[in-house]
Amino acid sequence: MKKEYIQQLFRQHYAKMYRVAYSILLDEQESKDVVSDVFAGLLQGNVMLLPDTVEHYLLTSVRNQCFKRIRHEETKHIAEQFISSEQQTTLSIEDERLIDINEYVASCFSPQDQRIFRMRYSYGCSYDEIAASEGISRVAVWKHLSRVLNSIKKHFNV
Amino acid sequence: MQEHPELYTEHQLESLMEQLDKEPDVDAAWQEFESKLSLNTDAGKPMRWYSSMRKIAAAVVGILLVSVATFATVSIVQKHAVKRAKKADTAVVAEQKQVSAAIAPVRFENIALDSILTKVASHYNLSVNYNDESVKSLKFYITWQPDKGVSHFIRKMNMFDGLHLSFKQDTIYIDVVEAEEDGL
Repeated sequence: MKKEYIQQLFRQHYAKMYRVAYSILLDEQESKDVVSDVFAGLLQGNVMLLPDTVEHYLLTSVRNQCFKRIRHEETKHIAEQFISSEQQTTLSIEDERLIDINEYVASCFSPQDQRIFRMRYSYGCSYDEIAASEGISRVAVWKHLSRVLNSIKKHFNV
Repeated sequence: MQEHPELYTEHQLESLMEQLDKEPDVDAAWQEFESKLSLNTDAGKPMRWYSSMRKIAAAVVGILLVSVATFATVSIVQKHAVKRAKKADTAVVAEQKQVSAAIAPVRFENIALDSILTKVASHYNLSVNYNDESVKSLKFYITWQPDKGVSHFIRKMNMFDGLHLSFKQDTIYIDVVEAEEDGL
């Protein structure tokens, strides 16, 4: 992928990607590293990004990298880099387990939990935006996300 | 704080959220990313060469090991009775068949239900029947494991609210179910 295109994507999506990483890792430098890793992966790989889903792809990649990083730290297990070519991908068991998170959230949480989780970690919305959209306080948003994240960490051992 | 929000005051949570939603300096981040890239590119050349040499060396060692192992196997097999060798061969072939029969899972990311079901149904040689055509364009994230059968796939799809899939006589039926809304 050309560097000019990467730069365009970087400037367009960095803020949201960083926000997603920071709210999972709670560490500024690690969050920057995760976002950089995703873009470095795009530069090196042959990933085909579709205009309609590029933001979603980038945010999902960040989220998965974050969970892998947490898991890596806890188990000292070397996680493979998340690779996705096009929208339909053949996955390693490790990748599949990690990105089955969407299915887990869809099956185990209330529609409101699912919406809030998606808004924060799939669309990179701010706490303000989520609170306004759901008509609840920011602290309530935090509590919803906290419940879902804790459950994911337990279920997927990340 | 994420694991035990109940231990913190609302004020503490609010200030953490302020910090998490702070706009990052994208220009500075890009410059940092660029400099990392150039460092990796400059330093990467000898590393890549070294890495390639290591890979070649590993491949040569691997081939040697396989050759030695093959020679040893042939010698051992020749010493054993024909009957026993046949049994061993059968076991190896069966094992190889099992490995090749395993089909890798397929991940659908933000793909329309219609496209997903077309692919899945064609794999199992089934047809698809929609009770409500409007659901065809709904997009899903799901991992399909072709070697696990259509029932496994249907069970996974039925975890999503609003839809119910069933399977009767070579047809997958898709019905719309009204989802219940849940407040805080």
